[in-house]
Amino acid sequence: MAGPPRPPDKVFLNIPYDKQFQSLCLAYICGISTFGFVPKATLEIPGGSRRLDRIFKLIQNCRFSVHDLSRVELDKKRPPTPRFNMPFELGLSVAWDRMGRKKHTWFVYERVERRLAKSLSDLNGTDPYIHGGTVAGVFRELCSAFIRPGRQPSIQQMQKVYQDVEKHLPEILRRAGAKSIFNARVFRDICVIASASADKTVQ
Amino acid sequence: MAIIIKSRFATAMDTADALGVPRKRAAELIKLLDSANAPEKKNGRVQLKATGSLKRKTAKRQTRGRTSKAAR
Repeated sequence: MAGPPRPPDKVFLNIPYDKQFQSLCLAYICGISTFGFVPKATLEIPGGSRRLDRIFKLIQNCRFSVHDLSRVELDKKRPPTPRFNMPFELGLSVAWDRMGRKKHTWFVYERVERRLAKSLSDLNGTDPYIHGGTVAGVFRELCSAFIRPGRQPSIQQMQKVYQDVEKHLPEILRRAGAKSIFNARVFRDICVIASASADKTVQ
Repeated sequence: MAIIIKSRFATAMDTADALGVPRKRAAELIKLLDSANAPEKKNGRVQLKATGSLKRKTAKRQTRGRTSKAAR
């Protein structure tokens, strides 16, 4: 006898939050939603309590995590610094996979081939998914990573969901009074629209 | 309406719950998506949009209509 329906699996999304990355961020949200998963990101973390505790709790509650290590360049703003947040959160996920009580699977994404071997040689032996900095590349590599029973959407279906989200993005931003998608409310609204579009597109 | 949304968009409502989006707002977002893709209605009837092939068919029919029966 079938039990009550399981809530959808959550995917921790560890990506850069900058304007140049906006289309790829949308691609990740749409792709993950089309698989029937729920994207989660540190964007949702409210201020107040210690940020690190919240991030670790977020990772613990996710079945999967996707880490995009494309941004290894120095930040242009002074003082020029690399961004350590993404590799740090990847480290937390790896630790949780090794030592946690719940099952956790992590995936590493990169824009450039063989660069990870230089930027993070501790991960030698782990094959990163190379998306080449394109939306279609992100969809292709998500399909390669999430081989599992259940929803197996096509690239075309993911693109349809992406187009739907892109079409409604100005209205979502207007309703939230925001200018960018890197905002807690906008992120959540995009996830709901993407999931609804996936419900219509993928049978 | 709420039941229709729950049944047609089950995963989307589960996503909203998992993200802590209030159900009312989630329903509004889903309606926004659904209404944009729905066919246009005029006087309560669905208006069919003429596609390229339909336009050609209509044009053919009109041309045929103008020729007399004898000529055909």
